[in-house]
Amino acid sequence: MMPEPRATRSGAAALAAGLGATPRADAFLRGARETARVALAVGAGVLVAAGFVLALGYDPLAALRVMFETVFRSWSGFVDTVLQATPLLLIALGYALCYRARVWTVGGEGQFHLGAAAAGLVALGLPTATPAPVGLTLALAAAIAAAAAWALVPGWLRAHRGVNEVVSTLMLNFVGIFVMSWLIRTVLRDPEIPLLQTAAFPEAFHFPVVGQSRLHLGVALALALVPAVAYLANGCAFGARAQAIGANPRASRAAGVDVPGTIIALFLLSGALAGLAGAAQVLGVTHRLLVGLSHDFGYTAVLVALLARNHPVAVIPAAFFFSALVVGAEGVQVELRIPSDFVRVFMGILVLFVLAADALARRRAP
Amino acid sequence: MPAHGAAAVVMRGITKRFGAIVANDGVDFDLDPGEIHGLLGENGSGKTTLMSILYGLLQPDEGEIALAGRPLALRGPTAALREGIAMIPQRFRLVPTLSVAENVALGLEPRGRRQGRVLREVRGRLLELAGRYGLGVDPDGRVESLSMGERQRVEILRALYHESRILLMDEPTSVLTPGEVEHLFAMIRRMAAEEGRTVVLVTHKLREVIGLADRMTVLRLGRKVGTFAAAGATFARLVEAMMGERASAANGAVPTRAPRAAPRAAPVLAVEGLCVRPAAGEPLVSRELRDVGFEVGPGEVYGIAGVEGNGQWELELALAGLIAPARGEIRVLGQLGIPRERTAYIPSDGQQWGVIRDLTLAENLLLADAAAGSSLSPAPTRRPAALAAAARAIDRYRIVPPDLRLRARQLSGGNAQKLLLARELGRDPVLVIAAQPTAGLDVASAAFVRAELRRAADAGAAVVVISSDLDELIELADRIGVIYEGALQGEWPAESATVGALGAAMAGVRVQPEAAPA
Repeated sequence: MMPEPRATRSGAAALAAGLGATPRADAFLRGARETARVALAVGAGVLVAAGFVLALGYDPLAALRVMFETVFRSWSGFVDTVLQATPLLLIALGYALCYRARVWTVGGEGQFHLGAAAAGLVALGLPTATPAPVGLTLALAAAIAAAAAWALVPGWLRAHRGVNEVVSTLMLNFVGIFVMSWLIRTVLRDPEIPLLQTAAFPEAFHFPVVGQSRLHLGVALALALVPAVAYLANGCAFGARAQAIGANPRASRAAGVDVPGTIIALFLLSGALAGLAGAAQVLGVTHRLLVGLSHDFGYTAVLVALLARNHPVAVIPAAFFFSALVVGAEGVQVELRIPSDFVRVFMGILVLFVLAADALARRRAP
Repeated sequence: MPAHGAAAVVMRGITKRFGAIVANDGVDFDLDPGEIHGLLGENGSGKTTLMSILYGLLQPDEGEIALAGRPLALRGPTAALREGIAMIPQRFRLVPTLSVAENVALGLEPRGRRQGRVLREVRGRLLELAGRYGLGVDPDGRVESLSMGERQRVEILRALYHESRILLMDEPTSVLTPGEVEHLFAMIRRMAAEEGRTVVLVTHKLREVIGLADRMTVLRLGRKVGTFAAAGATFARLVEAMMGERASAANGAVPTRAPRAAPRAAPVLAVEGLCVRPAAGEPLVSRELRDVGFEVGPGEVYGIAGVEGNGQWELELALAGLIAPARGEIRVLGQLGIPRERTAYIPSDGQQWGVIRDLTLAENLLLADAAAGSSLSPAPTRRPAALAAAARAIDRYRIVPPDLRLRARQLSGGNAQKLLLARELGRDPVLVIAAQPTAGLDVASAAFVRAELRRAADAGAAVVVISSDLDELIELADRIGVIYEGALQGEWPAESATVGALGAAMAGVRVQPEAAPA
C-alpha cells in the first residue's frame, strides 16, 4: 500500500504561493493571445472584403476612408454609432453569459421587442403627469419583467425538456416582433397618427440626455452593467457553474451543480438585458413604438458576442465595431454608391474568419 | 509461436513530448508475427502514447517505425488500418443508434458505391467472421442494446473485417465478466497461433497477461525498462520493473482489515423498496431496479457486486440523487433524499460524468464549492484560501503533474480518478457512493483509491462501493450484496463471502434467500 499520504505543509504552501502569482499572468497571456487572434481574423476579413469591393469595381480604400469619416469625423456620426451600439451591447452581454455555458440562445430580437412593447404600454398607459423617476422606473421594470418572462419559456423548455434553444428562441423572435406590431395596430393605435407607429411618449417617459446631445441614460446604464455582468461571468460561483456546464453538463450535474436552475437563470438574465435594450431604445431614442424598431440588433449581437469571445468587457469594443460598420456603410452608400447591404456580406466574412481562427487554435492546443 | 527473425514491427528510439512532459523517451519496441505481446506499465507510463504512435493517431517527435522491414510514416488511424494495424480501444468508438453492420461500414462509403450494397457486403462478411470465431454477434442488432463485451467483439470484428494483421488492445478485459475474459483470451490465442496475427495487450493486470503473452515489455515514466520472455517473467519481477523502488512498499499492500464488531448504530443510508423504471423523460435509465433495499451504517463499507448491466448504473444514479425513484425511498441520516453537499460520488463513467476535461485542475477540484452555497459569492478559484486548499489536495492525493493550472485532459486516467476522489472526499461526506472506483487503474493507484475509501469509512461515513471486481469487494467491504437483473440477490458478510458463492449469485442462482434483506 502507498505510505500514508501526508500533506507537506510547506510544499503545499509554496505551491499555493506560486500559483497565487501565476494565474493572473496566465489569464493575461491567454487574453493577449486571444485578442491577437481576433485582430488577425478581422484583418484578414477586411482584406478579403476589400477584394470583393475591388472586384465589384469600387475603390476599397476610399470605402474604408468614408466609413471611418462617417463615424469619427462628425460628432453626430459618432453619437449615431454609440446609440446603435447600445442595444447591441446590452443584448450581447446576455448572449455572452449564455454562450459560456453553451446555451445558444438567439432570442434577443424577440425579447427586445417585448421589452419595448412593455415600456410603450407603461409610457402611453400611465397619466402624462406621472413624475419622470417613477414613470421611467416602472417602464424599465415592466420591460425587464416582460422580456425575462418571454425568455423563461425557451429556458424552461431547454432546462427541463431538452428542447433545442436555437429553434425555440428563433421562433419566439417572430412572435415577439408580431406582438409589438399588433399592439401598435390595435391597443396603442392613435387615430391621429399614421399606421405603423404610436403617438410620441409624454415627456416624463423620455430618458434624460447628456447636455444637448442625444446620448441618453440607457447608454450609461449599459456601460454600468458591464462590470456587473463581468462579475457574473467570471467572478462568482454562478459563473463557475455556467462555465462547468458549458464544458460538460453531465459531469457538472454529477458534481452537484444545479444545471436546470443555472440554465434558467441564464435565460432570465439574457432576457432581462435584451428587454432593457428594447426599453432603452424607445425611451431614449425613438420616444414611440414603431414597426421596424430594431435593426436586427438581436441577430447582430450574436456576432458581437462571438467577436468578443463571450468576454463581457470585450463586448464594448465589439458592439462599437459592428455599430460603426453599419453606420459607416450608410455613409459609404451615400458617397460611393456601394450598397449598404454589402456590410452584411462583410459581417459574414468576419464570422467565417473568426471561427476559422478558433478552429486553427484548437488544433494547435496541446 | 513467434517466428523470430522477421519482425512484424520495429519501433526505434520513439520520443514524444507534450509540452514539458516527455510521454515516451527513446523507446524501442518490437513485435514478431504471431506473437501475443503484453505492454505493461502504470498509469502515465507512456503505454497509450506508444500505441497511439503505432496506429498513427500521434506522430513521434523522434524515432522511426518499420513494418515488415519497410519504413512507415502513418498520417492517421485510417492509414494504419490500411497497413493492417488496428486499435481496439478501451472506450469503444461505436455509434449506439446504428446497427453492428452499419458501424463496421462507417467510413467505407466514399467508394462511389451505393450504401446499401456496401452494407450487404459488410453483413455477409460479418456473419462469416462471427461464425468462424464463434462470436455470436448479430450484424443487425443495434449497438446500444449490446453489452460491453459484445461491443468489444464488434470492435474486434471491425479489425478483422479490415484484415488487420496487428491488433492493439487497450485494457481489453476492464469491462468484461470472467466468462467473457476467457472467451476473449481463447480468441486472442487463436488469432495469434493459428492465423499468425500479432496481438498487443496494453494492460496493467499482470495476472492476466502472465498466462497469455509470449513476451512482455514494461514501461516506466516514459522509458522502456525491458522486454521479458514469458518463461522468465514472474509476477514479482514484473511488479518490480513497473514500479521501480516502490515495489517493495507495494508488495506489502494487502491490507489487513480489522474484523469489525458490528454494534449497528442507526444507519446512515437506508434504501427501502427502491424501484426505478425506464421512462419517457428520463434518457439515463435503460434498466429496471426492482425493490432494492439495504442499509449502511456509519463506518461501514457496503459492496454491491454484479455483472455489468444488471442495474448498477441505475442504482448508482439513484444513490447519487441524479434520478428520482419510481417507488420506494432513500433516506440519509433519516432525511429523505440525497444531501448532495455531504455526499461523495465517484461515477463509474469517469470520462463522461467525472472530471471535466476542459477545465483546469483547480476548477475541477473547486467545482463542489462552486456548486454549493450562494451564486453571487466569489468564485472559489478566485479565493486564495480555496486555491491553497486545492493545492494541498493535489499534494495529498499525489496528483501528477501537480499543477493547478493544467487542464484535466492532460492527466492520465489514474491521476484523473485521484482528482475526482480529492474533490469528492473533500466534501467531508457522510455518504460515499463509489462506482467501479478502480476500473482501469494500475496497482498502485487502485490501492490508493481503496485506502482512501476505507479511510472515509473509518472517519464515520457510510460507503457504498459498486464494483464488478469481486476481489476488490471482498478486500474492501464489510458486507456484500449481489445485484442481478435489477434486484438484490442476497447479502453476505465479507468474512464469509467467497468468490464462488458471489459468482453464483451474480449469475442469477438464488442462494440463501433468507439472507436477502427484507
